[in-house]
Amino acid sequence: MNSARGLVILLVAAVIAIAGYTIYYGSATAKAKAMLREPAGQMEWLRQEFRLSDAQFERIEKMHREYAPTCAVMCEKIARSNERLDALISANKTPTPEVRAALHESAVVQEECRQAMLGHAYAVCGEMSPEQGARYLKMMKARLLEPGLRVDAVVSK
Amino acid sequence: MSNPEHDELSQKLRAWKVDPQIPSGFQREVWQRIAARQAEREEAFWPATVQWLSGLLARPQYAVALVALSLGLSVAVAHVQAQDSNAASWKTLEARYTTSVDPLAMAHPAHE
Repeated sequence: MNSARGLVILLVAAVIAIAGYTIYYGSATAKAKAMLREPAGQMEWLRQEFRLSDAQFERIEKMHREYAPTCAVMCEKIARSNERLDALISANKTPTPEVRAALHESAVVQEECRQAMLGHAYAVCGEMSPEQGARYLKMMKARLLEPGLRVDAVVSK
Repeated sequence: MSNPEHDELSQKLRAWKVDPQIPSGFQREVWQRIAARQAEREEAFWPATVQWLSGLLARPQYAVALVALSLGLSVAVAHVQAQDSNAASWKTLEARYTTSVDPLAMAHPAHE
């Protein structure tokens, strides 16, 4: 009798433990998972990470929307200049004037992109509070100073 | 002053020889018995433990304590794992944001 009761209590404890784990874990991670599912989840991340007010967020989101086409065009320019450089490097055995010109063009395009990105970063930073703006600039500076930085490297902390 | 009875007894004792007959397989049987007793004790351990635990859990205060402890532990584990999961999600979102404003990162998906 006692063993059956003990077993039932053990089972009840196990069920409650599993339910507690599932409910807590689900609710504690729900917000971040919802943001990951959202196509514009990164903007919500920006709002929360840099504690933006509604007005600040609205202005920054507008800037982001306006900057996106410029960013896409530059991305295409970089891809094209890289493709050209790639083909020329493969086709030659020495740094011919044509290769050097392609290298120069690639550097110019990349500099143009970095300038545009810096301009956008300053504009966004200007909308934030001084403290949060400094954090944002630090994050963006890392991307500007190290263009090869892994995109998943966290620098905002 | 010698005692004839005592002398006789001493003589008998000196002459007495014991020739014990140990049955064949005696040692093996002893070890078998020892092994059997150990196995009995080991077999009895788990039922006794279950019996003891069941006895404890039959008391409401112990049952409630077990349930509370299980719940507390599971929530603590969930809390730690949720923090790790949220940190990973946050990192992914930061990467998504910086990629969305960095033409170089957009043009080099190999960096991801």
